[in-house]
Amino acid sequence: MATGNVALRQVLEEPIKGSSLWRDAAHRLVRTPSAMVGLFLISLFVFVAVFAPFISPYDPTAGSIVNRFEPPSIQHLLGTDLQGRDILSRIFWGARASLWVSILSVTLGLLIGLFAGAISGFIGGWLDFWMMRIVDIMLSLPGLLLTITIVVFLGPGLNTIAFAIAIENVPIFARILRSSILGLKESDFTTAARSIGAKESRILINHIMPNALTPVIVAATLALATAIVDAAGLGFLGFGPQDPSTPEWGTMLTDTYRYLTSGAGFTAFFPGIAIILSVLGFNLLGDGLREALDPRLKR
Amino acid sequence: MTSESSPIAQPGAAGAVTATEPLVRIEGLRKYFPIFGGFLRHKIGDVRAVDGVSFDVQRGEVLGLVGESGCGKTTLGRTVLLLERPTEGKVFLDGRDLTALDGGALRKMRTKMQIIFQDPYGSLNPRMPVSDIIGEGLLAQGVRDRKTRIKRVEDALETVGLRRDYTRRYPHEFSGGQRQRIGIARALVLKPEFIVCDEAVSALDVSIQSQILNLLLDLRRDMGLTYLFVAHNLSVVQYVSDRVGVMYLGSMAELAGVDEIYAHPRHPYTVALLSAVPNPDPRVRKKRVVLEGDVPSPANPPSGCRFHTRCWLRKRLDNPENCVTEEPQFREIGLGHQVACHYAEQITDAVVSELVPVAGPGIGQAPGGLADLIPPRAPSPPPVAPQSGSDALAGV
Ligand SMILES: Nc1ncnc2c1ncn2[C@@H]1O[C@H](COP(=O)(O)OP(=O)(O)OP(=O)(O)O)[C@@H](O)[C@H]1O
Ligand code: SF4
Ligand SMILES: [Mg+2]
Repeated sequence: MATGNVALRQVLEEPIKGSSLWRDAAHRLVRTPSAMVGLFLISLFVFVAVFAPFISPYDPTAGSIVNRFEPPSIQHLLGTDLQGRDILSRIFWGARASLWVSILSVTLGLLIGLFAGAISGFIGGWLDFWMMRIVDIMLSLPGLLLTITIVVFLGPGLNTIAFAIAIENVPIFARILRSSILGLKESDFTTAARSIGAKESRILINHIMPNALTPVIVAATLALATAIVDAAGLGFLGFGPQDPSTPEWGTMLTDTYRYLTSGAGFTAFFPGIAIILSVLGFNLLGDGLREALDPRLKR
Repeated sequence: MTSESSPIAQPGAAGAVTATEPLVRIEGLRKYFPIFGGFLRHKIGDVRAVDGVSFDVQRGEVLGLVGESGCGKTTLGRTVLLLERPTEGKVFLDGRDLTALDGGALRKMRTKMQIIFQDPYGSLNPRMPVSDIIGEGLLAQGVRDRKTRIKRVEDALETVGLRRDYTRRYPHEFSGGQRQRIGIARALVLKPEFIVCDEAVSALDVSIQSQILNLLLDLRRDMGLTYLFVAHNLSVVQYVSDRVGVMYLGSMAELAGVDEIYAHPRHPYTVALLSAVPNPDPRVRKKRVVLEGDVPSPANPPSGCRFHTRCWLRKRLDNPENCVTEEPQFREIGLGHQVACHYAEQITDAVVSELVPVAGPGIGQAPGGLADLIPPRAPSPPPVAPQSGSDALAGV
């Protein structure tokens, strides 16, 4: 008992400092340099997309053939493309397309995927079994093939691209949510809640959902990055906006890749950099969130 | 505790609780888990995790439960609390059959029985502050007033040796031992009578183990609690228990008072378990009973006596037939000493002392592993709360 009392006193003398896990996660995130770089890149991306009309030096659709392939200069900071349009302005406006596709696809994917994952995880049994077989099949198809098939069926355009990417995300989100629900349903703290007489609805809202959603948040952040790449890929393949003057990063690459070797490399280089930086931003933030939101990791 | 009559208790029969009536009575309890298999996942069998167990737990006693991993201790504990619906059998708490209650009535009864878990990390919701973790039970039982709740949460914290103002903290800010205390406070706040401790100290450091064990024993004394104490560590069980049950493959092999069962075990499985306890005196060389082979699958337990595939006594007796064909009764062979073996009488104290390293009446004073479990005076006190600052509270 002697040791017990010493220990007890130590416990009693400890200082207090309450902090919620979310706030702690935010603190951890702020102290992760890579996540902060990610957040900076994302802010830049969103800022450019939102304010493109105000910060673009030129009309992104206007240009004359006479000025084509002008290298970067004071007038055109990133040069001009094959139709003489200002590349910087087109990149700014192209951010809008990327942001739109990524947000729409992830939101749509979350809506369907979370619904499917939740009923699969909660109801279980037969429904769960078949739902997961469908998910298996969808996940076994090569991602881009599935999206291209959908886009071919529905016709090109930003919204169909977003829809196709959303369909690709559905099984991923569904599976993540389902497996965390299954784990949490069996967890000791839900058993404890049952043991103190909490109602099932309360257990669901207070114990299962908040914990089940954390991995989904991380996956959704990473899915934003994938959506940008996929959208650019589909744009490059010609499934992007059908009005060729609408700026889109992937399409910008298509326009010019034939001229890469003839000294106009910058026309593909700068849109490429835009894609890489925005994708990197979401990936860095996603990885940072994964660590910051994990209550087991502490420093 | 008799003053706390249940809200639904009938006057007369159930109200007149006699001193000898057990707090908990378990009758023929079974819990089978279905096994699914095949391409279309149909049911192909059952895991018989608990397969016909009956015993009583007296008021104020600590009933220890030991047995190898997978023998169904956890499942038994959870089924007794109706956290798992029994496949068969009855559980009486205070004379009331819990298996006959509907959801609402059962939820009310839950104030009387609680559980403490093994894993101090998995048993607390990482996204809830301590006030909610402990206070949730009060809320669920209808304590609507927030001030009252907080007050009772703080009282519970103090009871388990934590600071009253920890209420706004989150589980990740605490060490393993502190978390275990929070789990105990959560169980205590409802003022239960019966607590299932499922390996409540097994995941903790040895020095912390003794603190938590002593806390549990103090609480029993002060609050008149009754424990079903599940553990696989024989020394821990010996230290805390009044009576000890030994489980094998879903059923009870032997049950007796703690001194009786450690000094005069009468089931060959109990003897084998005790024989495996390391001897504190290395000069004493005993013949060890080694349990041969693996534990059989609980989906397909052996016929007759379920221990017969590994039983050393059966071998010694030249493989008698009825071990394989006839399930031994769980019978009384001495006062309060029950055993499920046809040949329990063959195990005399002489046989035991030949096989068990520290057998004999002295075992209570010189327990095998307990010496290192509870140091008389630790050279440096266990650092329950070493540094200050929230991040520094990392795992003890
Ligand atoms: N929910 C479940 N579904 C299917 N089988 C289960 C379930 N829970 C337990 N079992 C099985 O029941 C048997 C008994 O398990 P249980 O956890 O009760 O054993 P235990 O004695 O507590 O073991 P340990 O010492 O490892 O904790 C095991 O074979 C286990 O696989
Ligand atoms: S009944 Fe037979 S097999 Fe079972 S424990 Fe006794 S001697 Fe061993
Ligand atoms: Mg267990």
